[in-house]
Amino acid sequence: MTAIAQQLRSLSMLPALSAGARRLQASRQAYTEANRGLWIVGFGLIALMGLMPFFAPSSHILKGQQALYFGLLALSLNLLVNMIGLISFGHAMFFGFGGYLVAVGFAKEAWGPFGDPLLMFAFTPLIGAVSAFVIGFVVLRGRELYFGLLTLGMGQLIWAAAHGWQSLTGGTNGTTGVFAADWLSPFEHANNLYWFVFLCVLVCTALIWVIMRSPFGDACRAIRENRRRAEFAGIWVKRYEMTAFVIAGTFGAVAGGLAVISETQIASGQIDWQRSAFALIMCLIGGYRYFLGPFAGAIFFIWVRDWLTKETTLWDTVFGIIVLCVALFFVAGLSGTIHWALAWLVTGIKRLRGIRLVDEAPELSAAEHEAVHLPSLASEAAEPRELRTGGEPVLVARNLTKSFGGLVAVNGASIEVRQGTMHAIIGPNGAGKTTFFNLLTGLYKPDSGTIHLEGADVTGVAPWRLVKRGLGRSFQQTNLFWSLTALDNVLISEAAVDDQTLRIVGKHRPGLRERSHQLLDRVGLGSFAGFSASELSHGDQRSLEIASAIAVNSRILLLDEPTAGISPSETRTAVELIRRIARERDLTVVFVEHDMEVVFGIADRITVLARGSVLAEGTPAEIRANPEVQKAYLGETTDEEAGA
Amino acid sequence: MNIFAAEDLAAVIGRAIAPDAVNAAKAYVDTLNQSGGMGGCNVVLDVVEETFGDVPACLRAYRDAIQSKKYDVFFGPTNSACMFALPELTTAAGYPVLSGIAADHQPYLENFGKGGKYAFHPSVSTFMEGRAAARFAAENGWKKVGIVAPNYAYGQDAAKSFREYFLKLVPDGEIVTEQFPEFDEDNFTPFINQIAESEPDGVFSAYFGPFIVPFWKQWKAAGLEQIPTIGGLIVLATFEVAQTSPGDIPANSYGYDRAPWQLLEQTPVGQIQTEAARAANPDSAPIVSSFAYQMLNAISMTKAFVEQTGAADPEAWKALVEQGQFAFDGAYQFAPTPVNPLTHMGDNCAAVGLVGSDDTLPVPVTYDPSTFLMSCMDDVLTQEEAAQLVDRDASEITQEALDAYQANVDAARTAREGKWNGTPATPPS
Amino acid sequence: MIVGASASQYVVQIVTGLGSAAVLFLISSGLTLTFGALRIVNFAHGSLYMLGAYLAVSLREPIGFSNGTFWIVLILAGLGVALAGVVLEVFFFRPIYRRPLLTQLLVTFSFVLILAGIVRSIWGAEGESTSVPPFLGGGVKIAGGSIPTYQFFFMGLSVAVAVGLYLFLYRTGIGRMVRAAVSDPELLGLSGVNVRILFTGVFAVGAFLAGLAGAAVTMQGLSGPDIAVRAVILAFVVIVIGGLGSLIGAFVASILVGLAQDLGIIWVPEATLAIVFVVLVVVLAIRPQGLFGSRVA
Repeated sequence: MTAIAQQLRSLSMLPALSAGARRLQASRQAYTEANRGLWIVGFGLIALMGLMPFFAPSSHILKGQQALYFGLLALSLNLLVNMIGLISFGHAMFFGFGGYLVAVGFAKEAWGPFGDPLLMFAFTPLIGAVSAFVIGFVVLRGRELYFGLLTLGMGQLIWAAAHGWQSLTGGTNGTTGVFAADWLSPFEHANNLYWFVFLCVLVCTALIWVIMRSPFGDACRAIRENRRRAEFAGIWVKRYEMTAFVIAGTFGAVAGGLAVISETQIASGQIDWQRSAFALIMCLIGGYRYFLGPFAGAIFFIWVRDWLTKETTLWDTVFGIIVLCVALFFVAGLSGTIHWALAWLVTGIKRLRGIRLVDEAPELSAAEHEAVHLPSLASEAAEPRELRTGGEPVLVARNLTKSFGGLVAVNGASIEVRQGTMHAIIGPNGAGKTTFFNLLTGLYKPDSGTIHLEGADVTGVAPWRLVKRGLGRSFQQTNLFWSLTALDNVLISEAAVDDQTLRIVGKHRPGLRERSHQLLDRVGLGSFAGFSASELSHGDQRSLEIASAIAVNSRILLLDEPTAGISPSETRTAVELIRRIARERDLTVVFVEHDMEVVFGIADRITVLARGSVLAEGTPAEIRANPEVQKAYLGETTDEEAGA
Repeated sequence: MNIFAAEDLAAVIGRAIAPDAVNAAKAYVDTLNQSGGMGGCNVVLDVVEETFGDVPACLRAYRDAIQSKKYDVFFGPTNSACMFALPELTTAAGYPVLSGIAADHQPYLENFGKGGKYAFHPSVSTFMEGRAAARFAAENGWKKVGIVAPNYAYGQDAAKSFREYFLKLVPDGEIVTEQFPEFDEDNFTPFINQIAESEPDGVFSAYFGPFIVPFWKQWKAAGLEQIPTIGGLIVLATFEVAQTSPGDIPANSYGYDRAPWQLLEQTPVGQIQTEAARAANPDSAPIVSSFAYQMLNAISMTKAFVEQTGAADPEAWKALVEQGQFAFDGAYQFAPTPVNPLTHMGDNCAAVGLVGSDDTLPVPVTYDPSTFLMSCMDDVLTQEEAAQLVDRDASEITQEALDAYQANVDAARTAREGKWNGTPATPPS
Repeated sequence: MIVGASASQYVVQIVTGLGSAAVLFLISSGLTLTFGALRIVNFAHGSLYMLGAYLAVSLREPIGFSNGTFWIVLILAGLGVALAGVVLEVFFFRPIYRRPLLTQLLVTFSFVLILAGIVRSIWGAEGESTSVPPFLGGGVKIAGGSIPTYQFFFMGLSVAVAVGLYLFLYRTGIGRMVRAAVSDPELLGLSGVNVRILFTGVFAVGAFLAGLAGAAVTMQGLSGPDIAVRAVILAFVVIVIGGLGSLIGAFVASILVGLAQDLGIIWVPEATLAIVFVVLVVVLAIRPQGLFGSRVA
């Protein structure tokens, strides 16, 4: 982490608290074992809600009913927040679309059969999906904060329309008296109504569960973790975001329809930004990392707010303090608290039985053990080795130019990479290596010049399309799906590249998991498949990134300083790994590298950049002998450089 | 006799409106219980927090109360949207509902069959305010009138009521502009520009209490003092904002009020209720909130229903009202308050008066009592119009019932003849 | 071709719109400044604005609101809010600069709830207002209409704030550091600047501007606990249209939104609420990073 981040962290009031929290932390193994308990709690909760009419007084049943449809709203929002990492501040607009669809037709008798609330309820998913698709085109233009603020604006626009279009919606008075059907009368058959809401919510929850567990859900999590890496796994991020947005809108609209059927009315005040904010708060308080967290949050919200309003007129202050504390100190929320308590219980029980739970840490990888036995690169470089001349040119760039503002970073640079070769790009600091690399991999669009990949013109083509054409890449600063396991890092790349991850139901195709495992084995990470990427050592992370770049079925591998920031022994491992895999898979490798030992040790051909232009190109021997290259590097030390 | 109401006791506007009214109502219930309650039954008035304008939470409170089967009668909430939805719920459940504190937009009973059947309106507020103001405008010779009203249910309904009645009274009149700023708007200047451009003789504003003050301030700053305005100066001791800026109010300003205490304390029932309200809210005394009278009137109506039918059965109440002779001892009239068999609306009144100052009151900005024009429903609503207000078959009501109602109305008119500073009691045209 | 209204009406409404724009800029300048440096979106900015208004209401009694003392009330209210801002920043916002967006949004949002309740319990729920100081009373005749004098005061104040912020950011050493923090806070940290104090200072300036705006604007209308949310949503619209963190963007967007709001009253009176958000969506559909936003959204 960078200096400022450390500085910032050290200033915060958190260290003392987090130290305290660490003492309270249960071991990971205990958490894993507590998962089962968490499932039991979850199912218990569902059963409790389902059976509520049998034992609870009517006031609690009514609260439960509201908790159910607000919970569904929060859960559908969590599809964005937790699954794909989009924070929407306007989710209540879908609540409004669904709600008004059910209510408006009923109020307008002229609508004939379209006034049947239950029939219109059946159409709520459709209106949710269609409206989300249209709105998605606007709001998905923004990312992160801009997305949040755009959804806020869009939600307010929809609210303002519902507020102002009184002839249709009834404005602030709303549309009232929407009694869905006799058998759902809130007084004659209050329990029927409850169970109707419960069943609809249950079905929706099950569907959302399936979607979250699908290959699509995996790809979404990958996008959440690392958008850029996802693009280089062949994922067309916008398409996935749009799909997730549409799904969330679909279920949000169903929640709105259920709300109208439950309350028999809807008014514009119910779909404003506060409703959206409260849905987010439900996700947070309940624990948005947990599937049923939003429901836990909704239950908490309804009951506690109700209680608070009876106890104090300062309810909003107290509620704000609760939100503040959860957001600052316990992001895992209620579900996380339950999980933690269960983990402690597990630890306690095991301890009684004399078993101590100790976490294994991925400290030293198998790859590192191997590395010890490898011959040194230097000695290898000294030995004459056979250089490949390669086959057809597979990656050809001509006269690429790219400038940022007034600064010309790459100026008419060209490269021709032949099939099966190891092609290094070197150059002094500021030579434009990384920019050149980003142009080759589609991250930047060139101002002029052309790029051909295996004969096809790919100038200005988006990275995810290049990836589908057989290009894989790693980054100078390791780029992984950090909180996903090493196995998932590889698996998602393998599945995404041929659009397997577009399936929103079902599982990954058979054999994929095994293949991903094999690939991990090949890079020496087989025993760490279950660890999350962030837990691995830096060297292992580099290996994992290379595995991810290969997993997309790549024929051309572009590696940006594969040995940056790793120890000499890890460097040897990494280089050996690259060479071995390139041979096995008949890959073409293009790499930027500072470490001249590595460059001259493995490159078949070298392109030297200086000031954005190609200074020289040739075999290692030619480059070594080139006086201009020597001049360009004069005064430059080979190591300790920080980026191009 | 158990009465349930959910009122907004803590939120932004409700907190200013509801507590005084609820205190007064509870004090009056105690007074009643000491003298035998309602038809011999002890009365219990339960008021719960309706939760801050959150309509589902408000409706849930009512449904909860309905399903507990503990209550016989329901009074309406402070929240307009919740009140709007409520009658359909209570009627479906078979309970009577009486509009409670502030929100009663039901005069436009477009859904009588669904919700209006068991809804009774002891003190019709919005509708009467609009009509009283329109009558005032007409009697002062306004032809071109501008309207500025907050863009939510109350403002829209008040504007609609004013517009309809004004154009009826002044056939060659014209509404030259209608502006609907947001309820919490604090910059009225762009709207005032539009009104000034249309050069009206006078302006009707449905902003009330503290919310009218920014409008008046900016009206004065725009140099439009010579054009009279009618605003909703509902007097509440809690509306402290008026205290800060009496000088900002333009000279030609009138205020309408759904229940001015200076007038209501003069009626026989009003006297008793006013005393109870003042005792319950010593800080506000002598001011009694207009909202308090609404709630008190609802109690009076309930009492009469119970005593005359001997039950809390909405069907019996409906039948009683629709026979026409039903009247109750309310604060708005010097005789029993007639209840219209067509609309279920009590014959209540609203006034318009010149805004003046009185330093002896907790809130120095008030009405000049000598200028009040008090309009009761029988002054501003003919039976033909009343029949059109409701989407029901007027033939359900017999001619005898209508005659009986008219007899009650005549009695009430005679009783208030010459009262209230000699306010003219001209019959509606 | 002028639609639906006379030319003089347009002149009057445009001048009024500039007054509305001035208020918008007063509110949003602090928000965009703090976002620029601290990179967090402060939902509680509107609550600080509200606090400024209420402080002015309370200070008016002891200090007075004459032509001279009025300024003292404004400055003291601003400083009071700046102090509250320092407390917020040091104890609550500092720990979240590196936290996920969701945490940041909800931490700042929680203060909307917290401050709403506190303000309500201190000052009541029904709204308060100061009167207009004598020298700002009355109106200025323009094109047959009359525009309250204080509207011109708002315009003057917001231009003064804009110029002051410009001079601060581009002509002082601290300003240069703030700008460096906007472009690369990490580098600034490495260069030995005490980023912690710098950030607190920037936040205090942003809070001061919010408080100043609240204290000034309350003279025209009514300050209830509701104004916090209304203000912050409009301020968001402004700074998003202008480009997050851009001062000139906030200035231009304020004018755009202010004029759209007030001219919308002529054009589409039914949709005055929606028009602001329509402007937002249209601008961002064309330029997702906002008018003057430098970075890709």
